[in-house]
Amino acid sequence: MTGSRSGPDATRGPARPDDSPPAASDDGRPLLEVRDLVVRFDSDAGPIHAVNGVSWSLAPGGSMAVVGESGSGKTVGMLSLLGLLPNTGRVEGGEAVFEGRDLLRLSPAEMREVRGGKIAMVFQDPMTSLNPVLSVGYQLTEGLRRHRGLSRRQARARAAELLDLVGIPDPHARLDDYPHEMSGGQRQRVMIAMALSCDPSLLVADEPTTALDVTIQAQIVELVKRLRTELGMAIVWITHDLSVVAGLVDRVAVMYAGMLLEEAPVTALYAHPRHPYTIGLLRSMPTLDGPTHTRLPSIEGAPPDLRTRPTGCPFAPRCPWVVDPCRVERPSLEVVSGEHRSACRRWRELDALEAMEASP
Amino acid sequence: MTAYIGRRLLQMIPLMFGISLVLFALIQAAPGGPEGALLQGGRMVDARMLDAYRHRLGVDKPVPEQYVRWLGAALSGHLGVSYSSSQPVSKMILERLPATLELMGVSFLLAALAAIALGIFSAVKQYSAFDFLGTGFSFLGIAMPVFWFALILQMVFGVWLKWLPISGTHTVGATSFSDHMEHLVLPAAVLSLRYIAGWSRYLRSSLLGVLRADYVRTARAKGLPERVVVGVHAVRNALIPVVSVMALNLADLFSGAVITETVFAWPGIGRMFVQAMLARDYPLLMGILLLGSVMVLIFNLVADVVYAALDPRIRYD
Amino acid sequence: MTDEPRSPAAEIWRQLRRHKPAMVSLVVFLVIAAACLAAPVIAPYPFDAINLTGIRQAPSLHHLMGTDDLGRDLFTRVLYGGRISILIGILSAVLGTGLGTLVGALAGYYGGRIDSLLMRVTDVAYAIPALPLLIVLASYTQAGVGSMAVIIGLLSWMGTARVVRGEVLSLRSAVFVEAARALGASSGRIIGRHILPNAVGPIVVGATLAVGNAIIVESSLSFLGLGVQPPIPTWGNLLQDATSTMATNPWLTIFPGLAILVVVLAVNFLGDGLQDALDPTGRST
Repeated sequence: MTGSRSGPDATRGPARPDDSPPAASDDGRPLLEVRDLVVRFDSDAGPIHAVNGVSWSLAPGGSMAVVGESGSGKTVGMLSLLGLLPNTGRVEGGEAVFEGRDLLRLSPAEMREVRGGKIAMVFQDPMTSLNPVLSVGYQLTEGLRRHRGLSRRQARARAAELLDLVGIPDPHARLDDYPHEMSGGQRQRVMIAMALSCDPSLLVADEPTTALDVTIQAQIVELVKRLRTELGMAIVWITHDLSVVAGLVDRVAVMYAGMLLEEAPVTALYAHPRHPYTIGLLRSMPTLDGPTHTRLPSIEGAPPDLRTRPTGCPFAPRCPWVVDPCRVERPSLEVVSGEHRSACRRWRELDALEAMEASP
Repeated sequence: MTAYIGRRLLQMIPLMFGISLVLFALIQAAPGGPEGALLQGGRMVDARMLDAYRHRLGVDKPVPEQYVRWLGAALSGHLGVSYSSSQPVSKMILERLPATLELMGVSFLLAALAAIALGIFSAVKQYSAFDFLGTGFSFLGIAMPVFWFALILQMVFGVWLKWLPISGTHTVGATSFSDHMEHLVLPAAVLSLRYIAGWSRYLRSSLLGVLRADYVRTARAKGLPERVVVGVHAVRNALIPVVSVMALNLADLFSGAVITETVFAWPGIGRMFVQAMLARDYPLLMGILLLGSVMVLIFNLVADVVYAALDPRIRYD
Repeated sequence: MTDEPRSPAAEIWRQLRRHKPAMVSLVVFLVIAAACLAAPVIAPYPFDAINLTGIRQAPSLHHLMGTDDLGRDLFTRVLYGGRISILIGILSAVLGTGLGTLVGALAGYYGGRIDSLLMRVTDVAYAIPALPLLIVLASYTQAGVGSMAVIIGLLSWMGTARVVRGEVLSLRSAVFVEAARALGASSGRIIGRHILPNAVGPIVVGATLAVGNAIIVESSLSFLGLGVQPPIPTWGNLLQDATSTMATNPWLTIFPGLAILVVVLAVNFLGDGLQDALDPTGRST
């Protein structure tokens, strides 16, 4: 039944399908390019404007974090690319070109080839994301048998390798376990193994550490870092927590109210945030060298109401440096330098504004 | 699994004891007492004969002793002698039991298969015309008295269309399997209708909940076709709560069989029960009631086992 | 009117009004119940008026549902039958729900031995097939409206008991209950005034569905000849009368059955609507 006669050893490691070797990226084309993505949800109270015209791109093997609070559209945006939105949600516009094809216009069958095969996802809550009534081995081998056409035995051997790869001891025995027999951290490792099973060229991790204990969080982050260097796939890491992304990804995109407010290489973002929202996020982050026993500052005000589309800058109601034009006109992403873009019309003044605030 | 079944069996003992108390109380409460049937039968008896009869039945003993004797006899399979036929109750029941088990079994299978199919389609195609029809059908099925539905089917398929026989298990003189099956169609349809309606609705809502679960999204994210997502990942989870309802309803299935067998003259214990009631044949009534209760307990046990088989989380606690 | 705090009943009513099938059902049920209640006034004939010259007539303008084999007007008899059937349905639902609430509240509130004893009793009552047991009990008694309601009610309390027990268990240690206890309220008062009002939702839904169920059970018993005896008509014994002439006079079978079907359907839709109205998770602001 195997499509290409591939023995168990042919399936190991980061072997890629012939049509999408990483070398194909040498022409400089991005792996995934999202343009003007718009997603709405239907609700009794009218449409919810979840994602409002977001654009970004990711190079093959590149890595990016999408940061934002809940309701910022960070997860919904990624789900919409894979056609995994709940029934009430729909893509209203935009395109997402992945390996030369627009994901938003694929047939259901084409989309299934992409899902799990080329783009894999790890979800937030490992306690609910694995099927409680199916064994871990079954859930791990499903994708392999479908996308790679492996036999039951080949898939099982590969599944054990994958469990070993993600650091689960005694992998052969654990294949027959059910999810409830594993800890949260182990389940998330299984989720990651499942996502990696078909050597995707893009791994989307949706807050994969949020539901876990702090020590386990660090382990999972380390695991993904290691796997990325070993396997070389691109990563989109969705999180509300700016502190986890340093050292994990190259670039950060900050989202708010379904819009992209700032996008920058991770070091530039930490050193010179060019958006008041990002500055607020960074300030509310605990630091090791900062003063202890002080309250962390939080961003004043409530998250936006997505039932109405904001006319101006979505952050204006909470922004300490808001000026009248912010409320009227939606700011566009301006290039700060190189790959650093900001959607704040006052990005040039931010240093001065911050200095003024520090010395009243 | 064996230990699990053993534990469940042990838990049934106090329940069985409670049931036996109720049934014994029912016998004691029978109008005219346990010996009343003699008088109600219209036979002339003098006091001496009555005393002898009471002694033979053992009803001249103190009540607790009667209970112990009755329970002992029941445990060894002696359910007494029928007033109306003077035959052992256990023998009469065993003769009629296969017909009832056949009707109940076929109806249960029919109901389970139809309900699962209907429930899955309604949930997957939520708010479609099919879903609305299914929901309407379910409400009708639940609101319709079983015997009235039986009468209507007899009228339509038996009297007007003359497609199907409306009583008995086979045409007089006929022995063929197909003839028997034709006789089974209407009773099985009647007996299963209510459960098709109830279970399909229940499965629908259960499945709608499961389809929103994270692990279903995981399955979709793997690139599995919808058929596999629903059939493998969702349905098994959705069935878990439905199974316990099915088992609880199996008890009602016996109640339903009483009416269905009566309307269709199906020679099972349900029909015999109604006949026993009309003849005030209390030993026979109690024997059937006892059997019905035991069946309920067995169905519950089976449900527990199926439940454990469907849900791996049960097995180890 | 918009933001004032409302009594729970008013809030339920507000939610229920938005549930169209439930509202239609409520109207249908009330119309039928009112018509049956007013039977002596609106029925075109006396319920026992025999007319041997007009037996087994098909439905016509004179006899909306036809006549039976004694020439009695079926429409009249269905109206009168409804009085008995609906009355028995409501009485037994009230009785069964009351008993179930009592058992459930006692078991949940006192816990321990009382709880396990009452719950074992509930298990036993569940394990004995309901209809056969009803048949035996009905055969013991002189069938009348009261005894029917009592028998059906006595055998339909178990579901309510389990639900109420669960509710009470979860409310027993709630802060406002602890507070009432600290203020020296008696157990009876705590159960009656503080706990049960919070469990009223599932109780009301259960009671509504029990009405429909009781109507079906009553008709089944009557059909087996164990219900309220002729000449007093009930929907069940009208159907029993009709079986012998089913082939020639189908209307005698169709109309009483339809009456049961419509009323039970209405009651079930109403219960469904109540369930939605009482479910706090489905409530929109």
